[in-house]
Amino acid sequence: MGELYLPLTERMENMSGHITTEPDRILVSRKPNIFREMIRSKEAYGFILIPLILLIVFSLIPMLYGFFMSFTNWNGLQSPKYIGIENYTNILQSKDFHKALMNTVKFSIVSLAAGMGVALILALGIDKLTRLQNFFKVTYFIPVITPMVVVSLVWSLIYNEKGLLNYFIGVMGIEPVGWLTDKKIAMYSIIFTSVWQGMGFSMIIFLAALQKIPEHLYEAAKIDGAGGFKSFWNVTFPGLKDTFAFLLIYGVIGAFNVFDQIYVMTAGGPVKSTETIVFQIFTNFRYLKLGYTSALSYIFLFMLLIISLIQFKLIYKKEE
Amino acid sequence: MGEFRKKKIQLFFIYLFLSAGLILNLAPLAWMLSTSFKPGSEVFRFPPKWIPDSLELVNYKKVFSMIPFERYYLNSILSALLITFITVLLCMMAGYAFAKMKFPGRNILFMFFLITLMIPFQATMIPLFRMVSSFGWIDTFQGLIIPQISTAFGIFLVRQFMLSMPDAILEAAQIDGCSEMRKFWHIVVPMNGSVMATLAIFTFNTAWNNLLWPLLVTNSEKMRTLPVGMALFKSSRDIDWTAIMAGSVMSLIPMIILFLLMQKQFIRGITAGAVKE
Repeated sequence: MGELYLPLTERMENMSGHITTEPDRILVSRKPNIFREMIRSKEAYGFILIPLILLIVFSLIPMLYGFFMSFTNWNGLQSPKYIGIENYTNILQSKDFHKALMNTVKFSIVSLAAGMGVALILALGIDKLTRLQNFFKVTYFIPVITPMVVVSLVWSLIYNEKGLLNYFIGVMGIEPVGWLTDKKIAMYSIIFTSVWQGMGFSMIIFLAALQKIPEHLYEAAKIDGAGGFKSFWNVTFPGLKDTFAFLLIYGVIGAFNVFDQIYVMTAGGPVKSTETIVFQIFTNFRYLKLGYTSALSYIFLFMLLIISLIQFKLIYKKEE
Repeated sequence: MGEFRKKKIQLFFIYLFLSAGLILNLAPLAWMLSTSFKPGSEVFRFPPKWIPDSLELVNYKKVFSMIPFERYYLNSILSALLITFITVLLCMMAGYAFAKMKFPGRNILFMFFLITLMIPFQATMIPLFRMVSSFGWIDTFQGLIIPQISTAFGIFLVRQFMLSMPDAILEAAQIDGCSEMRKFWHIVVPMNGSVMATLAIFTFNTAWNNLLWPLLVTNSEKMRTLPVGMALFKSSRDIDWTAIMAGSVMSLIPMIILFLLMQKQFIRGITAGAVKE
């Protein structure tokens, strides 16, 4: 087994060594000489060198840099002074941070639940189609390829006080609503737009999973006398379990990073009712509160790491 | 017979439901298109007129005179193409090395890349910005492009794909005295076109849509990309909805065309992030 992992040139050496019937030489050449092997692998290192440098310079160093910045009161003008964990305690006690955290969590939960629900219904429908399946798949996917800024601009127009949506509810006899200006409603308007943009994505993933469920399971369920709902619950649903888990984790990370819609549609308002964590990082940075922003970034990083660790565990469990 | 009929009726309702959904799904984009052809005075005139009276391109011309739209366009195309080209090249090479070459420290280095996948860009962007600014890269193309080249995900994707590539052909080339570089260009790249396309589309789409980094790193109008330019266009004092919609249509068009031409690759490329196996 170990032999398989030797470089091919070495394996050939071994072979030639075997031909000259010098078993001792084979053992010697197999003895790991790490430096010799590293020099021999210089081509391989060349292949990964640039990504490695980019990673260190543009990910790792900023991360360390941010870590040190987060313990200072740096404001970009005077030289930074060490202030211990003051930034962290300030953030954790700050009402604005609580608000942003709640908004982010609200955005994530509602947009994921609604998005996955709608996507599953669409996928179940499209899966049953005998004709035009590809047409529906492709057309429902169009919002996904629409840039988020464009999506936000279009919906800003639709949500306008005098806009299309208020016209439609007016026809039904409902008073106009401040879709983006009422602090109780603005976040839900943004969520609705995000669901509209993202549901085609989840639909495609669900559809792929649905088409992997073997037909004979449904037939077996039918023979056992299971009706539509029962066969959904006992065959379809278990078949989609992994997909659910995956979309959930993937979606949570995406939702936590939400920025574009907020920046274009409400700029965090009204009265900070749509301010999320990333948006707060952005605005604090604009006020040059660099130490504070770095600490905020670190808290954000920590939250996402926990989510990612859960994801890692799920993937590994699947591979085993 | 009864069951067959029931199935047919059921199918009919599914088609009806999906078609209704489809109309709702496309209505916002249709509204964008129709507004882009309207005179400013008709934007908020109801009942809504979905099909404009004339297909005049006044608003489209207006965008170019109100903002340096062609410059945004050029910046977007140039930066997205360069980011895609470099990312794909680097990921193909590194992915190949991790999949098919044996060298000390391979597993540790690969784990290192995997772990950085968990660091969200949004969490490191502020120190990154300070660093990039200390390089003097603010408002430059290198500042716009180089930090957007993230290879960890692509390396992971390419490696997974290349693991299933047969060793025999690579070994044959090795015996023929092919250098690694030659093997890469003449065997590995041609054999892995599909994962290359997937990664290229994924990267291009991400770069084309990116708002946050270009917003941070560009100051002057001449460096802005389409998302930044369009987002700031809306926040200017007098919102001209017809011009904004015309600009939106124009920034969407290349994506729509590419998508309709290569639906399968596109769907695979954009969902690549979620199907990590």
